[in-house]
Amino acid sequence: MKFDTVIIGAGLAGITAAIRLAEEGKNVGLVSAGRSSMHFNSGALGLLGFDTDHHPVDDVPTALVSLLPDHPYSKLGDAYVTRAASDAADLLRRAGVRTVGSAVHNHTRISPLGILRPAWLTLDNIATLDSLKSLSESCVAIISLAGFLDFYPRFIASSLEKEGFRCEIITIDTPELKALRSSETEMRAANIARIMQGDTLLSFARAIREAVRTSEATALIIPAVVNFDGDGEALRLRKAVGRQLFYAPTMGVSVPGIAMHTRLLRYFLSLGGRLLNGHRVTSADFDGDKLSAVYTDKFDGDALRADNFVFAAGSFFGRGIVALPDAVIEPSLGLDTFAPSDTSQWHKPDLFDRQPIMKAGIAVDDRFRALRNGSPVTNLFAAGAALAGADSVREDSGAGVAMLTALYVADEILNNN
Amino acid sequence: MDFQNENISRYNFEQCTKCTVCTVVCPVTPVNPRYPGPKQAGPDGERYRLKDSVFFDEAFKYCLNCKRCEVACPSDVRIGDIILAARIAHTKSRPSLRDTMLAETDLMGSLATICAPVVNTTLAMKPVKYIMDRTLGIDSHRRFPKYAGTKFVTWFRRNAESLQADYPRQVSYFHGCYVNYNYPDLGKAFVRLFNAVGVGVHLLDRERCCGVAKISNRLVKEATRDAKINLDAVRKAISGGSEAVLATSSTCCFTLRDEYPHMLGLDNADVRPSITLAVAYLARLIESGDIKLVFRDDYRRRIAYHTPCHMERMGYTQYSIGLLSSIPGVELIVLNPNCCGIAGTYGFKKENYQTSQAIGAPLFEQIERVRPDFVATDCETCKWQIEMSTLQRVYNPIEVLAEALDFDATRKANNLNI
Ligand SMILES: Cc1cc2nc3c(=O)[nH]c(=O)nc-3n(C[C@H](O)[C@H](O)[C@H](O)COP(=O)(O)OP(=O)(O)OC[C@H]3O[C@@H](n4cnc5c(N)ncnc54)[C@H](O)[C@@H]3O)c2cc1C
Ligand code: SF4
Ligand code: SF4
Repeated sequence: MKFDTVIIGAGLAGITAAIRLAEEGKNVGLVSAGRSSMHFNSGALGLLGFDTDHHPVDDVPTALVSLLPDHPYSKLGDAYVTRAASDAADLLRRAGVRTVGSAVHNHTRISPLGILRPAWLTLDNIATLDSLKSLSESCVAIISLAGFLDFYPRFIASSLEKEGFRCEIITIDTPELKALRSSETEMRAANIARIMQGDTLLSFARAIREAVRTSEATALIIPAVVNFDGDGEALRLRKAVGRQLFYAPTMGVSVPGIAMHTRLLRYFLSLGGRLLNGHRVTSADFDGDKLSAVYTDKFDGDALRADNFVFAAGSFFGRGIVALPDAVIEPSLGLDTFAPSDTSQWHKPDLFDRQPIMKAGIAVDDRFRALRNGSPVTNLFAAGAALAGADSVREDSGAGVAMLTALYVADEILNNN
Repeated sequence: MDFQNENISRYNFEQCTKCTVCTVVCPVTPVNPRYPGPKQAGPDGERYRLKDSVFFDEAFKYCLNCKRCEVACPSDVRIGDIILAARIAHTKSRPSLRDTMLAETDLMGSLATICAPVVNTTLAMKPVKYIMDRTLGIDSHRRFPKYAGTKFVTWFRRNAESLQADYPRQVSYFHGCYVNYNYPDLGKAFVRLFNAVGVGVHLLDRERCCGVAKISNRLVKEATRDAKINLDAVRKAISGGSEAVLATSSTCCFTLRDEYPHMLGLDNADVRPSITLAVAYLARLIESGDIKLVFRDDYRRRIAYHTPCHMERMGYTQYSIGLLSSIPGVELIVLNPNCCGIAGTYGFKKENYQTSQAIGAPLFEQIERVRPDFVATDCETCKWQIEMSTLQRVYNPIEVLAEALDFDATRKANNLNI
């Protein structure tokens, strides 16, 4: 199969690059082995939440300056980061993913564990400290669902109380939730969201209305268990409940994350993009310093050919890179990786310390071309969590690195032709 | 290191990271709360079942075997295989008369074709449906696919077979029960289309039902018997000069390629790459420049494409989408991924009817909303289900290509003067 560009990996990085290229009329093949880490995104995107000393970042441009030279942001340059961060928000908006936030000043969001953390962009409808503070009364009710273990209302309450809010926790139940609980392992956010439509949604709204009748709370925080599929359930619930309503993220597979994935992918498909779903790239043909074709586990040797390729296969999750007992490798194309060569240096004994293995990834040149046997593959660009140099969990920079490097490589490909 | 490499379990079950992504895509979970879901029924439960089969749950029968969980899993765990293998290994009861009847597509088809007009009217009659519903548990809402009066094979032998050897390339066609007994038109379209691009079509020496229904109804002995006959016939066809053995049904193709080794333990590695879907074969030859399709100028259609679950599992969707959208007059709408709910014989069973329709509902709604001229899909049971549940007709992409083709121009473009 022949494309202008083949993208390996359909996480936030791969889809961002794919959309950018498809918007410019390119014929893009997006290869995806399994769902991506976007499914765990808690409804907020991080650009740089914590600096190298692990202090929360307010002013992003200032914190960028202190990053090490091997960090993907340092390679992009500070000015590019700030500019591309607002392009990224625009791209999300075009795909129907509405967000609030700025590339210069972080705002504060609520994590799935109920902790207040810095964020770059937060999805519309998800609670932020600003949105709660803009309310006329500082009294909120946190709604918890009977038997639902992936949501921690007490933690949220204690975080908000420190900010001067009065919080009330109200547990509700409905016959539909009870039925779902009959398979207790299935009481997860995504499964709840899948039944929250039509009458079930209205019954949920009724239960909330009933439960908060005597509460003074002007705003309600409910776990993000309502389908954000663009079909208006969130809006319908807000109307039916009749009060200000915000969602807070849950543990496990995240409903806002799935919604973001679905919208981005649908937008890509609507641009004529071609998705090779369930294909894992397993090998490749190189021609001098170029990649000429990749092969997947599904096509019996039918090659995917393209002028340019993007490697966006992510980090350890999804197996873009793999840690063997003695080395970190990139298993599909044999690209060069970067990780401490002495395995005893991979981990620090304190779990909360900086863990050097988390910066492992594939090595690229200053134009984000992937290296193989020490030299750049001139038509293979890398983006996202696959890249070495960022400790995205600790820094909370995952989404920023994914989207900004993806935009950069898409521009490289567009400008090269 | 070696220990790690050699300690890989069947179906990759130890690779599971407990991420629960599989449950997000399982069509059954949201509509049937009694189903434990892919993670629980699959890798989680498997750990216990390896110790003791008391951990087997009869509710696993609600699994459709759609394998959507496997496509979604980031760790390549073969969840659907684990569940089906567990059902085969641990279910106590024997398959019922009804399940056996539904699965014996060859036997039922042969009997029915002989007396097609009678069978069609009989199966459509209310009292008969009532009795089937009550005594056999075949849901009375189901419309049975019509049986054709003349089997495809009979038509082929009478009208087409003698001409085939003259074409420059040769393939064999695994037509499947459905084309043979219910829908010879698709088989005829296949032959016309392939002949027009210079490919002669042969039947396999012997062809039995692919066995998908037998496997999912746990009739393993019977399925293995048929599978061995099919694989022998495939080998014979390939050594006899066929470039490939082609199916027009995604499920037949998937069963021959993947369920035979995974579920029946039959090694097909020598011929697996030669067994493929007709659309895949065409797309590859078009890309290599070996054949050309020329389409009619006056063909204008708005087509909605539905991706069958096993098409998605094989990763072949882009072949059909690519071919359909290469027809100049076609506006192609790719429907959102959603199982149609029938899953072969599953939806015919009384206890599954409600679940089956609830699973398909979003698909049917989208089809009605999109209002295409017709729906295209690569699976025959999807076709029944969509035709039964919407106002739309459904065609196989091969039929669409044959319908849109300018035959004379295509034959000329492929230098044919036979
Ligand atoms: C559990 C978890 C939660 C997170 N939560 C957040 C959050 O809330 N906010 C935030 O900003 N960041 C979060 N992150 C960080 C996240 O990594 C980044 O935000 C970003 O989504 C990474 O995107 P990516 O596309 O680079 O990689 P991934 O999302 O990992 O996507 C890579 C994709 O490539 C596929 N793939 C791998 N190998 C191949 C191959 N050979 N062929 C084809 N496909 C292949 C994988 O299956 C996967 O689907 C989280 C990460 C994890 C793991
Ligand atoms: S998707 Fe795969 S890895 Fe995740 S829970 Fe399911 S089987 Fe396990
Ligand atoms: S095969 Fe289909 S029905 Fe069965 S568990 Fe997987 S997704 Fe669910």
